[in-house]
This record gives sequence, structure tokens and C-alpha cells, in this order.
Amino acid sequence: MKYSIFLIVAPLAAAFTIPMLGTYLPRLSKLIAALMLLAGTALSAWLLTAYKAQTVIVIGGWMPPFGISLHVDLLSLISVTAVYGATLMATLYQLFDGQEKKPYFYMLILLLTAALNGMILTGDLFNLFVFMEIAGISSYALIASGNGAAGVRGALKYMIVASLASVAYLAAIAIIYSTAGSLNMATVASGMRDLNPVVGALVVLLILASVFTEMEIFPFNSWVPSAYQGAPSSVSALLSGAVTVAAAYVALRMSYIVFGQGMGDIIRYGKFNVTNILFWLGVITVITGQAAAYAQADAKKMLALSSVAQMGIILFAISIASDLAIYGIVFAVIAHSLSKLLLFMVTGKFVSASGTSHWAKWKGLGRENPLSGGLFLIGALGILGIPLFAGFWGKFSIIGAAFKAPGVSWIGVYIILAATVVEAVYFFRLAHLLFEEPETKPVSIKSSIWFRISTALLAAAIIGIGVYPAPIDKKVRKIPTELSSKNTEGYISTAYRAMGR
Amino acid sequence: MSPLFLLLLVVMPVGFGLVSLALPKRLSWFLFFFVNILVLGVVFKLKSSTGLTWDLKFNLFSTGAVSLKLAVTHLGWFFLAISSVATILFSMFSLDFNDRKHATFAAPFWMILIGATNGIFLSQSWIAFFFAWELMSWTSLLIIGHGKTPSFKAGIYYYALSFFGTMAMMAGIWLLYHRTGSWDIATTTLRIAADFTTHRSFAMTVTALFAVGFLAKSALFPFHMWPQMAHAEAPDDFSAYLSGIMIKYGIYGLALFVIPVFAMTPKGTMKIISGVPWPMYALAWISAITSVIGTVMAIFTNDMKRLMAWSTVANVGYIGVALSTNSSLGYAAALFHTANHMIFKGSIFAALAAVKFRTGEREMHKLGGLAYVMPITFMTFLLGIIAAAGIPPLSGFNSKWMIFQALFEKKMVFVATVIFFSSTGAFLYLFRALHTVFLGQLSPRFRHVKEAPMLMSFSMIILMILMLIPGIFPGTVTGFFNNILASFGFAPIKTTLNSMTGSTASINGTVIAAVFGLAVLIVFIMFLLGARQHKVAMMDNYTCGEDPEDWKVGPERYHYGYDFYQPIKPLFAWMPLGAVEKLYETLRRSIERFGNLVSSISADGSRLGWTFVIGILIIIVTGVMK
Amino acid sequence: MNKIAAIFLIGLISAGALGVYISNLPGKKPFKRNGHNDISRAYMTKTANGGKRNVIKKGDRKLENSSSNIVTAVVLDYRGFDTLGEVTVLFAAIAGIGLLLGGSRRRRIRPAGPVISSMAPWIAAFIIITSAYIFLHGHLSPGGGFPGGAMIAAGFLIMVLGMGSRAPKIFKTIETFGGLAFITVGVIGFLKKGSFLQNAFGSGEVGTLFGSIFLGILYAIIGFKVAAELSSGFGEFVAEEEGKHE
Repeated sequence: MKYSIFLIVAPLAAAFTIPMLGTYLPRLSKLIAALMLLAGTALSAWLLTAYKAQTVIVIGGWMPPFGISLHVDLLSLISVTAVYGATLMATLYQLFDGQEKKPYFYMLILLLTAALNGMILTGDLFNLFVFMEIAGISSYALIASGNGAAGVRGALKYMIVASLASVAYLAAIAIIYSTAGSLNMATVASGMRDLNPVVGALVVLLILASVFTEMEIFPFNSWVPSAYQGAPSSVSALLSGAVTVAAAYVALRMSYIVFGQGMGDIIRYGKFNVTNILFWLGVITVITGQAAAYAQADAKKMLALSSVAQMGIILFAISIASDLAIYGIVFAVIAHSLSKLLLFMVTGKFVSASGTSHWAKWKGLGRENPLSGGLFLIGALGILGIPLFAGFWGKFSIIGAAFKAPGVSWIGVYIILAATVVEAVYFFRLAHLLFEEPETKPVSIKSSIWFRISTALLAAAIIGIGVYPAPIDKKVRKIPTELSSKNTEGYISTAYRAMGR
Repeated sequence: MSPLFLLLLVVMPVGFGLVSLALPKRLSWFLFFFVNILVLGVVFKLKSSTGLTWDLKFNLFSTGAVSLKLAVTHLGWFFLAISSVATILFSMFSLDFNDRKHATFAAPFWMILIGATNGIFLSQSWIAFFFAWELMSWTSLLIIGHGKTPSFKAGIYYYALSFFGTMAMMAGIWLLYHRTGSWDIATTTLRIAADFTTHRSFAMTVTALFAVGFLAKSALFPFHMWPQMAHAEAPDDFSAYLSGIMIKYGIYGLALFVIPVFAMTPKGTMKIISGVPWPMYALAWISAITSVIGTVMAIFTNDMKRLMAWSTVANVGYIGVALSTNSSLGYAAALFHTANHMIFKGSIFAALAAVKFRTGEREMHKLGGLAYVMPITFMTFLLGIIAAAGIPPLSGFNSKWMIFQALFEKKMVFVATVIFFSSTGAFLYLFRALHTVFLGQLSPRFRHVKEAPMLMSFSMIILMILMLIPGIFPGTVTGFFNNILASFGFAPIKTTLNSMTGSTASINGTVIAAVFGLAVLIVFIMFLLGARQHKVAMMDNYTCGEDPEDWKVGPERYHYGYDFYQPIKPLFAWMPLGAVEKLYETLRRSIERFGNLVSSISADGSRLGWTFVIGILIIIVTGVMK
Repeated sequence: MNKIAAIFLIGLISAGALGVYISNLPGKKPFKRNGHNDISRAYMTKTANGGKRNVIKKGDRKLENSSSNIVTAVVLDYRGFDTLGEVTVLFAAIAGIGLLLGGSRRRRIRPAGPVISSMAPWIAAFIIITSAYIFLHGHLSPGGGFPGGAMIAAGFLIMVLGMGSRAPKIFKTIETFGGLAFITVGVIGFLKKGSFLQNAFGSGEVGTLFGSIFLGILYAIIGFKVAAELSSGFGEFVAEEEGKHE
């Protein structure tokens, strides 16, 4: 388990090799990037299977809270595996099916991966900030490397909002350190109970504002449509397949551990009812996301807004804070990651075949390329949560959890169910358009063997998880105990045990 | 009989369907026919296996067992039997329909749909039901769309309404589970019925959610407008399946859950109106309104498929009314009419598909006189509309009679009047359809048209026989009902092979058929002995030498059948037809506008800082709430 | 312009006041005693691993990391992982510039007049020597790898502008090896002591150059890396093709 540090350090090391290799041996450097991601996926999968109990990994030899620590538990390992898998797929896609990119592109992907994994694994608030910065900067550059002005515009919008978010987060850290005196998540969690309520409220406000920006919650998600549209398809796939996973994870950590002392009850912090904040913002995001996606004429923006809506559902589920909701979150995140990857990869092909990302111009592409059309359909069914496809179990559990929870969660369910109808309309609209009779003969799509292998794997995973969720379910069962504070297996208890208190 | 056969009934068609995605079109239609033969065989082997159960329990999320349970119940088997009989005939029809010129890619999805249908009728756990229900929804959407833009528009309208209902059902299923701790359909039905005494509003909510789901699927008001688009735009052979079988899923759901819940509610817990609990009375009026709308819209349509789709809507209204009487007679009548409607609507659509297959024409006023060249198709259509109009000795008469008997039993006079109006009005559009398409003058351009191909004709002949038999021997169908009624706690109905007993009288189908046969025989003999016919060529007397262009009458008006009922349109001008459609359209457009508004927030880059500030404000507001 | 400056100043002052206000709000401060953070005190007295120490004197040996510059101790030792992150941030930023701007056509900058172009190497040499001093003595006096590296880059820039030099490819190699060296030091700590970035080189006397060799090595690595990054960054700007994005 102590090898988890290499989940962060290894891609970092690979990234460091690229300036030299990129100058002298560019093709080798790109290959090394892909191999490193493959190794990372393998390592995290192995760690997942070898997982026994939560581990605190100390860095630098200094016990927390004096030093930095990583906190490895089941949820973080699952998230890291998802991030690695998504990044691997996106990189292979760009490498073999996308435009030729400089070695720096792949280096930034490696940095992004390292940063996202750092965000997930860390147990220290400032460390989280540093990794957020790395992830942010890498994302800006990656988005901006898309074609033309759209990429720059998207990156610029993202940068502006994310910079505000970083400032907010940094201010929150400053407040926390000056009042509570520690930066370690576990000690802050237990230490912040006694703070002045105004201070607590301010901290919640700043941290949530920053986390929501990353997680594409309304209204912090104004950057999303332009960024996804301008970025190359592989980067859009990365954003929705990997970055959202990390963002959702951070939101969960903050809500349950830092603010909430574990799951179960309504989270009150300072003057704020945090559960309320999460609930309403989640519901608003779902409504606005689905409506905006329905009105979109651009396919990449449509998919981006669909991701936004999924994140809203996940935030809503975080606000429910019950065991069933946690299961739902994990399944929903995994299903969303897989399906969005598939969708972005396939739409990337459609964009390059038809030359435009306006989906109305894609009429008949599916007739000429039935496999790609079918893959799009599978991806859409995965996102919608149709039974026998991956997304069902997540939505199913979240709905069940919401009905069981006390309070007004059930209102959110009806809203989300209604919004899902809208989602179904715009996805099937596009899926069927691909198979309609076109006016002119559409272009045949050329794809590399890697594309076929990756998409086949993704489609198989989507259907496989939908039909047979048991392997993931076995892993997921232990997560609520690890997150709650009511027993000795919880996050905070483990952290304190590691500190020797 | 191994329980695995139940799983096989569901999985085998799906498997074959997936395989046939890779096969050429013709081969997939052969496979489709073959699959249906297998399904029919297994279904009939299961006839005596009521109670056979296949259950897959697995522990998911420590909520306890999620169970996918398939079991043979009386109700389920009945629906399975009639749908597989109808489907085998439709698949035989499709085999010839999908020749080189007309073939569609529908076969693989249709096979998956068959598997889903079997799943719906066999499911005894809500999760399995939901799985099959959703699978059925999206595969049917793809078939309806079949790659044509206007068809897809029709399909997505249907899908949106149906999906809305499905989501309501999902909410209902979870509420049921949280309350009863069980996914089992039978158990939850009992528990909810009992809950009407203690947790009234909860039970009402759950039942209402399920009702919305089933109403949407069966096209009852206010979800009545999708069949006229979907059934009309679907591939012609699939329209028969849509109108015949698929519209019955909602009916099955109502019969499976909603009606038994209200039937099992202890006396005195609900306010009774006209002999039935008030939600059932509401259902009666919903169904009555649906049948009126269906009839009126059918009267004024010119497209023959659209007309028949509205007729389906009207018929589903009758079935709904029958179910709402909450009595054994009504339940039996509903089941009877379901079975009959499957066959006669199926044969009507099959005949229309045959006409379209041979002539390429779908608008009635462009056809006419086809009886001379397509006699078998004509006979099928004729028997179909006679059955639809409820005229003895065909099956439709018996079931409609039973519906009225059920209404009389509960003294639901007003509802009965409305249904009577709708039922009689059906005659207007049914006979017009027959006359406009098949009788009258045969246009010269259709002189060469041949009868439908062999398999299509053969299947139509069998359909005709199937329409006659329940009319002459009602007991062939009604014999199944007593078992079904008993399983829901209803009293049995009195029925023998030849006769049925209602609330005011009993009729003997065989005797009626004999009388009719005798009358037809007598008239036929008189016709043979009577005056000679004198054949006149069509164009000789058609316009009596006049040139209609003088009266500014265009060519389509040459056909007397065009807009036939236009003179009585003002009679119905007071009806707010199309109001619900306008409502839905407004809803859709406001969602689109809202979406554009949201997009515009993010499109303008200079506002980004403000969005952040607004976000902070929202956080503060929601944080201090409550 | 004045308005913007005024708003900025007001914002700054109010943010500062708010900060002071918040820090002094009533409420238990769990990690504070006598007005000092537990953690800050541990850093200052080098008692993060326990023990009781009051004042650090010259001549003390083996005091955690034996660095007399507390900033360095915090940045490189206690929170060295964050510093790795910060180095990576700079790395990512330069990579972004390279990805978006970098071109292969190299533009020759015309050297400046004879006065500057003859003096430039000398000035650059002084700058480089000074910055080398700064990052080598990072643990003894204020400074360290970041400022040192930046100054080296400044020296290089003088060479570029003054003499028209070009960024040699060797800078990329230095970048690479700098980064890898940092991680290698960390891995050595992992292998020998069990934690990534743990000090595996021991510590000596406070206040001497080789007293805290661990920090010294790290700052040297950082210095080279930052210098190479910024210099190659300048190189990318110089080589930027007009108006072309990749």
C-alpha cells in the first residue's frame, strides 16, 4: 500500500523526462507517456485488489500535522483507477486517432494525471491546493491547444473562473491556518468544531465556491461549454472523464470529512446548513444543465452540459449522505466517466469526418459507419441510466436513497427524473439522426486499431457493469464505513491512529 | 418444466436480435419468424405451468436482495399467449413485406422487443418489470424512427411521454420498496391495498405514480396524442404490432397493479361514486374522454394509418372504462376486448400494409376500388372493421357487449352514454375507411395491382379466422378468465363455450352467428335470383360529362371520399381538441428557451466574474435557509 | 488608472483588516497556545519529531534538518512535497508556453550595440555567480533555489538580448535531469527510510554549508531546474512564429 505514492510520483517523473526526450526523440517521448499511463493503471488496479484497510502514508518522514500525508482508502483508489483509465484512453485516442501534437501535449497530460491523483490521495489541504493549481494550469494549456481561437477562448474563460476559485481556496486555507492552526484534513475536521460560526461559514463559502468551480456546478460552470467545445476531443474526454472524478471526490471529502465529521447527519458548519447548499445547487445544476443541453446545436457543448447535469446529480447525492447514496455516487461517477469517454471519442471522429461539430450536419454518418453510430448509442444509453447499461445502478441507488432520506430530498428526485426525460430526448435525437437518410453521401470514418480496441473495451465495460455490477459492488460496500466517523474504521480515527494520538 | 424456460423466453429473442445485427436484412427477417415460432412453442408448453418461478436474487448495496423474478401467472400467461399468437402472424406477414424494396432494419430490434415483451408479461418483481419495460421503450423508439426524420419526430414524442411515465414508475417502485421492503409485485399490491386505511396519501401517491406510467404507455388522456404520430409513421408491418400489442402494456400494468389494488381495498376506505371508488371513477372518465377524442379525430382524418391509430386510442378508452368498473365483469370485458383488439386492429393494419405494399399509397382519397384486385385483403379489412365496430358475429361484438354489461352493472349511466356515442361514431370512420379504400371506383393506375404476396395473404386469412372464432365461440377466450379473476380475488363470471352471462342478460354467440349466417344466406340467395347486373366502365359515368375544373375543384376532389365528413365538422367545433398538444408544445418550447438563456450566461466572457459572485450569493442564501 | 489603483488599495486594506478580524474572533483555537500555533512552534524550535527545545544556537548538531533558515526548512523539508508541486507548477506553465507558442523557426535577435554586447557576458557572469551563491546558501541565509534560479535566467536573458545568443538544447536536458534528480532524492528517501522525500543524508551542524546537505542538494536541484525552465521559456518566446498557434 505504501507504493501508492508512486501513483503520483511516477507520472511526474515521466513528465520530467519529456523536455529532453521531446527534443531529441519525440516519438519515444509520446510512447513513454502512454506506457507510463498504462503502468499507472496497472498499479492502481493492483493496489485496488490488494487493498486491505485504510492507510496513511507519511511524506518526508514528518508525522502529520507537521508534515504532509496521503490517505489511501477504497474510494480514493477507485477514483485513481478511474482517472488513470480515462487518461490512458484519451491519450491513446489522441496519439493514434487525433491530430499530431507536440510532446509537450503528452507531458501536460501526465502532469494533469499526477495532479488529479494528488488531489485524490492527499490528506492535506494546502497540498490539495498545489495539486489543484497544477491540474488547472495543465488544463488551460491542454484546452488552448485545440484548433483556432475557440480553444484559446475556452481556456481563457476557464482560467478566469478557476483563478477566482484558487484565490478563494487560498483565502480559506489562510483563515483555517490562522484560526485552527493546522492544515491536515483530519485535524482540521476535529479542530474546527469549536470555531466561531462566522469564521466557519466563511470557510465553507470559500472552499465550496472553489470546489464547485472545478465540479462544473451552476453558476460556476460558465466556463464549461466554451472550454469543452474549443478543446481537442481527447481533452474534452479527459475533462469529463477524469477531472470530474477528482472534483466529485474532493467535494465528497470536503463535505463529509472536513465539514461533516463523517456521513449520516445533516452537515451544519458555522452558520451554514451545508446539506442544503449541496442539495439546492445540485438540483439547480441539473435543471440548468439539461435544459441548456437540449437547446444546444453544437454536439461537444451538448455533451459538456450533459456532464454538468450528471455532476449536479452527484452533488445532490452527496447531500443525501446515506450508504445507498454513496453506492450511487460511485457507480454514477464510474458510469459517467466510461460513457462520456466513449461519447467524446466517437464524436471526435464525427467532427473530423464531417468537419463540423454542429450535430445537425451529422445526418447519416451512422449509416455509413454503423459501428460508430452503435457506439454512440451505447454511450448515450450508459449516460441515461437505462437498465442493463452502466448508468442504471447509479441513478437507481440515488433515487432510492433520496426517497429514504428525511427532509426534502424527494423533491429533488422528481426534478431529476423530469430532467432525465429531457436528457433522453436530446440524446436519442442525435443518436437517431446519425442513422437517418442523408442528402449527400457521408464520409467514411477511418479509425486505428487502438480506437476500435478502446471503444470496444469501453462499450463492453458499460454493458458489463450494467448487467453484472457485482465485482464493483463488492468493493463499494466497504466505503460508507470508511467515510463515517461513528466507528473506528473511519477516516478521522485512522488518521489520528497514524499520528499516534 | 424447468424454470429456465422462463429466462429463455426473455433472453433468447434478445440474443438472436443482437446476433442478427450483423446479418443481412432478409436473413434477419427469417430469423425473426423462427424466433417467434420458438416463443410460441414455449409459451404453449407453459400453459399448465402456472406458478413456475425463476428467481435471481443478488445482494446489491446491502439493501437486501434485489430480485429479478419471472413467474407464470394466469394474467401474464394470457397476455403472453395472445401476444405471441398475434406476433407469429405478424412475423409471417413481415417476412413477405420486407422484400428487397421495402425492407427495413427493424428485425434485430424487433427481436429484442419480443424478449422485452415476454419479460414484461413474465416479471413478478418490479425490478425485472422495470428492466423489461425500459428495454421495450428504447427498442421500439428505434424501430418507429427506422431512419426517417418525420418518423423519428413521431417516435421521440412517443418516447418522451412514455419515458416520463417510466420515470414516475421508478419513483413508485422505490416508494413501494421503502414501505414494504419487497420488490415482489404480488406482495406489494397487497400491502398497498392495506395501506389505504392507514397511510392514505402515501398509497394514493404510489398508485398515482404507477397509474401515470401506465396511462402514458396506453395512450389514455392526457397522453392520447402519440399513437396518431407513432403508429402512423412506423414501418407499416410494425404498425400492426404497435397498435395491436404494444399499446396493451399499459393495460397490462393497470390490470396487474392498479386495478387489483383498488379491488382489494377494504370496503369503506374510499369514497364511492356510482358504485366504484372515486379514483376508478376518474379513470372511467379519463377513458371515456379518450375514446371520444379518438373517435372524433378519426372521423376527420384523411390518412388511413392515422385514422386507425386514433381508432386504437378510442378502443383503449373502452378497455380503460371496462377496467374502471372494478368488477369481475368489467375486468373480464377488458381482457376480452384486449385480446380481440389485438387481432382485429392487427388485421386492419396488416391489410393497410398490404395495400401500401402494392400501391405505395397511404392517403385514402387516392385509392379506391381495391376490393376488385385484392380480395383477400379486402375481406380481412372488412372483417376487421366489422369486429371493430362491434357487430356480431365477430369477436368485437362480444367484448363490447360485455363492456356495456359491466357499465350497467355499476349503473355508470353517463359514462355508458359517452361510450355509446363513441362506439357508434366508430362506425362512421370505420366504414368510411373501408369504402374509400376498397369499394367504389378502381383508379386506372391501380388496375395492375396484384393481391398481397402469399405469406401475407396466408397470415391475413388466419387473422380472419381468429376474428371469427371468439365471435362464434366466445368461450375460447373467456374460458381463461375465471382463473385470472380468481387470482385477484374477483368473483368468477358465468361463461361456456358458446355463451356469456352479463349483468342484465346472457347471450349465446353461436346462436347469434347462426342467425347472422342464415340471414346472409337468405339475402345471398335473393341476390343470385334477383335482377341481372350490368357492368359499366368507370369513366363512363364518373363526372357525367362535366368538367370539374369549371367549379374550381382540384383533382383530389374527384374522389368522393376526400374530407368526407367535412360537413359535420362544425358540430364538433366546440371541442377543445388539440389543447393538450398545444400545452406540451409550449412546455417544450419553454424548456428550449430556458436552455438558451442558460447558455447565454456562459457564452458572454465578460460576465464570468459576475457568475462567480452570483454563485457565492446562492451559496449564502441556501446555506442560511431553514 | 488612478481609479483602479484606488480600488486595489482599498480592496487590499479591507482584505487585510478582514483577515485580522477573523483571526481574532472569539472561539477556541485548538492548536494555539500562548498565541502561537503548535505547528509553527514545532517548526521554529525544530521539535516536529517531539522533544523539547527552546532556542537554536550555532554549534547545535543533528537538529532535525539543521538548517538555520526556517523558511528553507519549512519549504524543503517539512513541506517538501508541496515544493515539488510548486516546481511542477512552473514546469507546467513553461510547458504550456512551449506547447502553444513554441515554434521551430528561430528568430535571430540582433545584438545590441558594442557597449552592451561586450559588457553583457561580464554582467551575466556576475549575476550567475551571485545566484549560485544564493541557491547554495539557501539553508543558511535568505534565498534559495527559486530566486537563485530566476536570477540565472535573468543572466541568460541578458546574454540573449545583449549578444543575441540562443537557448541551447542543453537547457531541456537540464530541466529533465533536474526534475528526475528531485524525484530520485525522494525515492532514495523512500527506499532507505520508508517515506518519500525523507532525509536520507543525515544532518550536521546548524549553520554550516554541509550541515544540512539534504536541503542543499534539493535547493541546488531546484535552482538548476528553475533556471533551465525560465531560460528555455525565454527561448520559446524568442522562437515564436508570428501569429501561429499549434
